[in-house]
Amino acid sequence: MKRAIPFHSNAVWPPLPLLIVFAVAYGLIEAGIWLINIVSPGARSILVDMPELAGIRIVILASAAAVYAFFRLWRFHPACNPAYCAWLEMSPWTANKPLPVGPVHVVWQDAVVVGALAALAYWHAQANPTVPLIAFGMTYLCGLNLLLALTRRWTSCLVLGFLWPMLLLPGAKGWPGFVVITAIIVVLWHGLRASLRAFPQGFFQTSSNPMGKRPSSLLQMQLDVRIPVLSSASFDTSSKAIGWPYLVLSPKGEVSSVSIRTSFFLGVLMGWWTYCLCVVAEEAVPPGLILFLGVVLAGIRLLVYCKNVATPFNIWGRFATGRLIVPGFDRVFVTPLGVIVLAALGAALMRRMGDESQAAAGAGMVSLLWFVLLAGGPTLRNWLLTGQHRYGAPRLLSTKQPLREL
Amino acid sequence: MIKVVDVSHHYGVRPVLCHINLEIPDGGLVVVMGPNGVGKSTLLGIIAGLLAPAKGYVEINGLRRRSSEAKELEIRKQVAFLSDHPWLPEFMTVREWLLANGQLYDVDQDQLLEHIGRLLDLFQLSDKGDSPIRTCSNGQKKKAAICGALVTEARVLVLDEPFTGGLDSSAILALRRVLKHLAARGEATIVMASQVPEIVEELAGKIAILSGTRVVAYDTMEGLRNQTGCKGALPEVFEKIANPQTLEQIEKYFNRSRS
Repeated sequence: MKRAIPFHSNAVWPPLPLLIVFAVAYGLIEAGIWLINIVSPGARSILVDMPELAGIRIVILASAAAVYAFFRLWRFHPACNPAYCAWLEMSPWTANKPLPVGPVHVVWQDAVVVGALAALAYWHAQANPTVPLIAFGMTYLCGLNLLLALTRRWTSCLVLGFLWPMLLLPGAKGWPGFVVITAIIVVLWHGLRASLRAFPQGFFQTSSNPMGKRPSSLLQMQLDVRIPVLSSASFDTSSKAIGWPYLVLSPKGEVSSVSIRTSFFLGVLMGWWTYCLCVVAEEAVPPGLILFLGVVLAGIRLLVYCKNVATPFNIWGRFATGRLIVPGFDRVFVTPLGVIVLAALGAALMRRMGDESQAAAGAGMVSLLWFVLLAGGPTLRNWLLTGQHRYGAPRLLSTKQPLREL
Repeated sequence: MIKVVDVSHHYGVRPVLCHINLEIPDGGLVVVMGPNGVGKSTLLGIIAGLLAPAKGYVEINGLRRRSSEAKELEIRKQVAFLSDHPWLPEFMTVREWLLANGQLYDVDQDQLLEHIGRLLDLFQLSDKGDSPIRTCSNGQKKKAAICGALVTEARVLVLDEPFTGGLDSSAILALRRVLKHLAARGEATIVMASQVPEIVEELAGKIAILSGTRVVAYDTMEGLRNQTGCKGALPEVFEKIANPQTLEQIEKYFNRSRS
C-alpha cells in the first residue's frame, strides 16, 4: 500500500534575518538589564518585576509571532509572488500536490515556533503565553482572508464578513467564541483549497495572461518571455495602461456590474456590521447619521459613474433648447436621488421609534440603502456603454502627456 | 455601412452640428472637410462613439450606437478610432502598446505579432519598437497612434486628422498607400477628417464638406466639380462650396493693395 509522505520543508522555519532581528530586539532588553545590574548590583530583581518591562517583552514576542505569520503567507502563497505564480502555471502542479516551495497551511514547524515564543513569554517574560499565539493566529487568519479576496474567493469572503464581527459581540465570549473561530478557520481552509483548485484560470480571474488565454504557440511563448508586462498579472487592460481614448472605446467592456444577488448580500453584510458596531458601542444609530450616509453614498455613486464622462451638453444648452431633462443622461441621477429620499424617510421613521429598536432599525436602513445603491439602475456597465454622455480624457492623463497640438 | 441619421449636436448654446445625414457604404473612403471649428472632430467623435449626439443616431453595419450593451460592444469590435489628441502610455514600449491594442480587438496573436513587425517597418519605427513611448518624438508618437488604429484590423476606421501631427513625408506616403489599399480591396470602411487637399483628392471616394453646422456637399470629386461648375483642383472647389466669399475677399485684398 502506498503511504502518503508527510510534507517536510526546512523553508518553513523562520529565515535567519528574522531570527537575528528578533534576537537583537529581545536581547537588547536583557543586555540593558545586565548592564544596569553591573552598575548597581541588585537592580535586576527590581527590574524583572517591572510591569512596563514585561509589557515591552510581550510586545516584542507578539510582534515576532505576527511577523512570522505574515512571512508564512507572503513566502508560500503563490498569489504573493508573481514569479512563483508564473512558474507554477507552467509546471504540471495541481492542487492535489503539495505546493513546491512550501505549504501555506499551518504545519508542525509553526507549532514549534509559536510554542517557543509562548514558552519564552511564560517563563522568561512573565507574561500571558497566549498573546504570541493570538498574535500569530489573528495575523495568519486575517492575512489568509485578504489573500482569499485577492484570489477572488468572494463567497468565502462574504461568509467571513459575517463571522468576523461576531467575535465582537458580548455573547461571543467562551465557547460561542471558540465555535466562531472554528467556523472562520473552516471557511478559510475551504476557501484556500478552492482558490488553489481554481489555479491558474480562476486564480486572479483576470488571468495572468491579459486575454485569459494559455500560450498557444511558440510566438506567444516568446512574447511571454520577451515582454513580461503582457504576461504578468500586473498587465491590466482595465487600467489606464492602454491610454486614451483606447480604454473608453475598448471593445472588451471591462467594467462589470454588481448583480442583484451580490447587492443583496453586500447590503445585508453592511447592515450586520452596523448592528454589531451598535451592540459593541451600546449606542443606537442616530437618524441624522442615516441621512448623512445616504447623501455620502449617493455622492460616491455619482462620482464613480461620472468620473470620466460628462453631460452631452451643458446646463445653458439645456435651457437654450428647452430640453431641461435629457433622459439618456439624467437617468444616472435616479438611484442617488432614490437613496437620499429613502435615507430621509428612514431617518424620519427612526425618530418615531423607541430607543430599544433603533439598533436593528438602523442596521436595516443601512442594508436597504446599500442594496438600493448597488442594485439601482443603470448598472455601471450599462451606463458607460449606452448612456447619452461624452467621454472626457481623464485630467491626470490629459495633463500628463498628451500629444502636443502641432 | 455607416449611417449618420439626422444628427444634431451642441455643447452649450451654440449649435455645432445640425441635421447631419450621411451614408457611407462598406469599403468606402469618405473624407470630412470643413473650416476650423465647424464640427468635424465632433462628427467623427459621434461616429466613433466618443460622445452621444444631442439628437439623431449613428448606425454601423446595421447596429445602432449606444442602443444596448451587446450592440455597443459589437460595434466597438468593428470600429477603431484615431483621435487627433491621443494619449499613449509613456511607460510602455511601442510594441507592447500595439500588442495591447491588438489584443483588445481579439486579433490572433501570431498574426498580431507579425502585423506589428510589418507596421513598425513601414513607419520606420523598428528601432523605437522596444523603447518606451516617452523616448519617441511627437512625429513618432503620431506614427505609433496610427499603427495602433491599423493593428486592430477593424472593419471601420475613424481617423481624425491622420496626416497632421509631425508625420514625415515617408510616413504620409505609407499611410496614403495603406488607406488606399484598404479601401480599394474593401477591407475597411474609412471615415477621416483631413485638411490636406492633395491627399483628399487622391484618396477620397466621397468628400463631405461641412460648413456652418451642416453638410453642404457630399459627393465624389467629380460630382463636386459638376455641382460647382468649377473644373479646378480641390482647394478651389472646396472654397466655392464652403466659403464662397473667400475668393472675392482675396481679390478685394489685392485690389486695395494695388490702389
